[in-house]
Amino acid sequence: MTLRYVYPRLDQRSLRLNLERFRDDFSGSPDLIYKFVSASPLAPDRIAHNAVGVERIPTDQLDAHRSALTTIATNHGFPRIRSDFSAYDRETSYYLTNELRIYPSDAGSQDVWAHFNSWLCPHLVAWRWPLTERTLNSEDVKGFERFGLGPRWFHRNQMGRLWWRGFVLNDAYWSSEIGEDQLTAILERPSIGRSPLLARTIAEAWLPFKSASGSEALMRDAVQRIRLLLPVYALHSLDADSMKTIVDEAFAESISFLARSPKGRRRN
Amino acid sequence: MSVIRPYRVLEADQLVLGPWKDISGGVIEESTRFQVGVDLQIHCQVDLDLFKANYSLFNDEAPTLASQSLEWVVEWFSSKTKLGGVTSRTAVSNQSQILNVTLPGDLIGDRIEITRKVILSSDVTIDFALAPRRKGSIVWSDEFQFRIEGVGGQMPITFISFEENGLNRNAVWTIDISKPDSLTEESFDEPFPEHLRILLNSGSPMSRQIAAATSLEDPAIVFILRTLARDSLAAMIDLATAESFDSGRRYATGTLGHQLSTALKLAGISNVEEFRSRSYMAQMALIQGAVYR
Repeated sequence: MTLRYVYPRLDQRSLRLNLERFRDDFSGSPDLIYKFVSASPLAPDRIAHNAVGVERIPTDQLDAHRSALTTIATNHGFPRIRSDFSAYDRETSYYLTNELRIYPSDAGSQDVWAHFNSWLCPHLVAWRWPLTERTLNSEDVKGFERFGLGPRWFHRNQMGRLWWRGFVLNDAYWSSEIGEDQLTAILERPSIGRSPLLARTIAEAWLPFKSASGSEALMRDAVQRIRLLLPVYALHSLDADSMKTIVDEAFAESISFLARSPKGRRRN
Repeated sequence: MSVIRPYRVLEADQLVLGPWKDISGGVIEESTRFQVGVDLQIHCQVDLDLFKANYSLFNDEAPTLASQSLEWVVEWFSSKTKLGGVTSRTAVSNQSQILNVTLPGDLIGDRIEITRKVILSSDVTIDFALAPRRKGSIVWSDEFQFRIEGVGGQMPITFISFEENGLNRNAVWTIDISKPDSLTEESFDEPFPEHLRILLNSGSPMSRQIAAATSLEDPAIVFILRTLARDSLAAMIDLATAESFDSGRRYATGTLGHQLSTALKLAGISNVEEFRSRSYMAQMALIQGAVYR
């Protein structure tokens, strides 16, 4: 059995303090934040772990993760300003999902990703999601959801969302051209995203249409149809072939609906 | 919410359902203990009257169809990981059956939903127009929820250096409300310890005295603990006055909502609106009174 770890947790108050410091002392500069965190200890006394008797990630491995993730970012242009992060996100997701060896139950904790985003790799989050003028001048830190603050932290925080994408979709994310809009349609619907098999089946059903016009509307309409089937068919309990048949039917219905109904296209 | 299905489903009198039990045989009420990484095993007993089911679903046109085409499946969902899966499938029989369920310990946390369903295990060909036909069609289901991890009601306590963490270096303790920016209606269904904790100042002699106390008879310790209890209660009531908290709702044990409801009861506050309208001094007097009662 592969050894797995629980990761350090940073409480929300400390996260807020860190973010205020990044904003006020470093103006959100990824470079300056990197210099700051590189010189700070990785295991401050305020950091807690899940109170269970399983293996904690050693400090030297945390350090190795920070180095590896920074190297990936450097290969993609860090700290220079970029506009397209799609390839960077996929490579980072691949690394996180395959190398962290974190318990998924631990990866469902807001405080675990607060530590990752604001203590281990805040420079990468600040680079990937540059702080806007509005956020920098804001009195509070509510705009920092990419670091893990706010009610939408699960789907918004940078490192956590990439880990979950990789965990649920695997190659359907890493090796495909599925876009942000489609990922949102699949993963931010608990009734769909709860089943990695269903999520992958939907992603794979959409991919042949990725270059077609209206492909975004197609995904949204098909997902809506699949969700309507869930109270009637035990879709999650079906084998892969039966599930694929139902998903393909939903896409076929959507294509037919969108083709004959400009109204329907607008509705989406 | 009831679901209207385009085919016949099972009636309540065709099923006898036992409660979900843990490995020791105890009935799971609202929560159960759990260790991360260790699979959680639960089970329940079910009885399905196949004769009646056959009539109900297939109009008795094919007398053995129900026994050939129905199966029990159990699906789970964890609110913490937002993951789910199928954990048990068993062909239905005309005798009592035990549904044994193993929940993957590394994939679950917080609130668990367990849904047991009777579904068609294969496509069915039959003339009866209202019969379920397609493999996977749900002909009956029910749902059960319980919580794991963080079920304790005790306020978590953490020792930290206040000076190094930007807090008042002379303070003995502070009550940390962890997620004031993230509070939504769902927050009150989350484990209580994720939201509130007592921070003790590791640089304060009095704080160390509290931690080392072995007897509650020392009047100085009693006074300190009562003051700490007052501050904790005040913090909980402060959270309970948030717009998104529903003081009329019944929250599950171990959740933030349950803890706040208990705090309101303890302080004798039945009307949160009325409490909010009081002056700060009047609010504190009421809380102080509750602690010293």
